[in-house]
Amino acid sequence: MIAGCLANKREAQHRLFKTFYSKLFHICYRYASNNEEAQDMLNEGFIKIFNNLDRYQPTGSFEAWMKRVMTNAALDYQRKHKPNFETVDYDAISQFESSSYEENHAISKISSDELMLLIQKLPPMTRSVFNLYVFEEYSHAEIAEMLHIKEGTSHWHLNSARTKLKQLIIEQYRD
Amino acid sequence: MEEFDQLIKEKAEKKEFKFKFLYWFLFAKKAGFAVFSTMQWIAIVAISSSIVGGASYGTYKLVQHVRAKSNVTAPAQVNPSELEPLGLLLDTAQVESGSDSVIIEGSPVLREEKASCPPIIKNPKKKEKKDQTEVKDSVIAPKTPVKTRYEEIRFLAIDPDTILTND
Repeated sequence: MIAGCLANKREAQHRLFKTFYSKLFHICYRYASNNEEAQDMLNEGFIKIFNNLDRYQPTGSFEAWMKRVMTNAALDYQRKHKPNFETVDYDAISQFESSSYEENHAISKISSDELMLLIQKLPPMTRSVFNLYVFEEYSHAEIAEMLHIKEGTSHWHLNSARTKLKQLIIEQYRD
Repeated sequence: MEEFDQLIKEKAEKKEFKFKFLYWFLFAKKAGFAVFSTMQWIAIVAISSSIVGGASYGTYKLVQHVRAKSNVTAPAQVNPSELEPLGLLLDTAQVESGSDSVIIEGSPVLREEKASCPPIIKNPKKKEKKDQTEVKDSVIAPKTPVKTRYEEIRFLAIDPDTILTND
C-alpha cells in the first residue's frame, strides 16, 4: 500500500485513506471545534502524509508516524485559522483537585459522542494541551516546545481543561 | 496521569467514525487528485451501462406486456332477446307408397342450442391460478355415423289387397 502511494497510484492512496480514516479523524475531531473543521484538518493532514511519505522510516510504526503527522497538521491548522489561539503565558500553577465519586460516575454515564462534543467546547489552546497530554501522552516539556509556550503555561492549561471538563460533564449528567 | 484523565481517554476512544466515499471525494478534490482510477472508471461505465440497458429492456418488456393485454378482446355481449328460443320441433314425415300415403308422426325432438360464441379467457394465467384447473385444448372427437331420424322407425307397409273388407 505504501509502495503504491509512493508510485502515486490512486487505488493505493484510496485504500490508505479508507484504512486509517477513522483513527486519524478521531485525532482531528478532538482538536477541532466542530465536524467541518475536523474534516478540513483531516484533508490537510492527509495531503502532508502523501507528500512526505518518502520521509517515513520503515523502522517505526507507520500508524504512529501518521498520527504524529496528523497531530502536527491539526496544530498548524489552529495556528493558521484561529486568531485567538492563545500564546499568553500563565506561570501560576493552580492545583487540580482529584475527581470525586460523583464526577467519575458522571463520566461513566455519558456517551462517548457527548464526551467528544464536551472536549470540543474547551478553548482551543486548553483543548490542544489536554489532547497532547492525555491522548498523545506528551510531557509538559514536549508540549511547551510544540506549542511555543512555557511549561508552566502547559500545566495551567491542563488544569483548566480538567476543571472545565468536569463542570461540563456534571452539567450534562444532571440534564 | 490522573484517574479522571484515564476515564476520559478510555471513554473518548470508544467513539468510531465510519468512512464514507464522500470523504475521499472531498479530499481528492482538495488535493487535486483524480477521484477514480482508470480501472474504476471502466467499472463505473460498465455498471452504469448495464443498469441503463437493463432498465430499457425492462421498460420495453413491460410495454409489450401491457400492449398484449390490451389486445385481448372483451367477450361479445349477447342480448338475451336475440337468443333463439329453445324450440320444440315437431317433425313429420310423409311416406308415400303407391297411391296411398301414410303420415308418420315422429317423436318431438328437442333441438340443442349451442352458445353463440365461446367464452374468452381474458388472462389465462390468472384463471388457472384461481380455478386450479387445467385448460386443455379441445380434442376433435372421432366422427360417429349419423343416424337418420327414420332409422329407428319401423315402416308399416300396407298392402291394400290384404285389407279385409265387408265384401
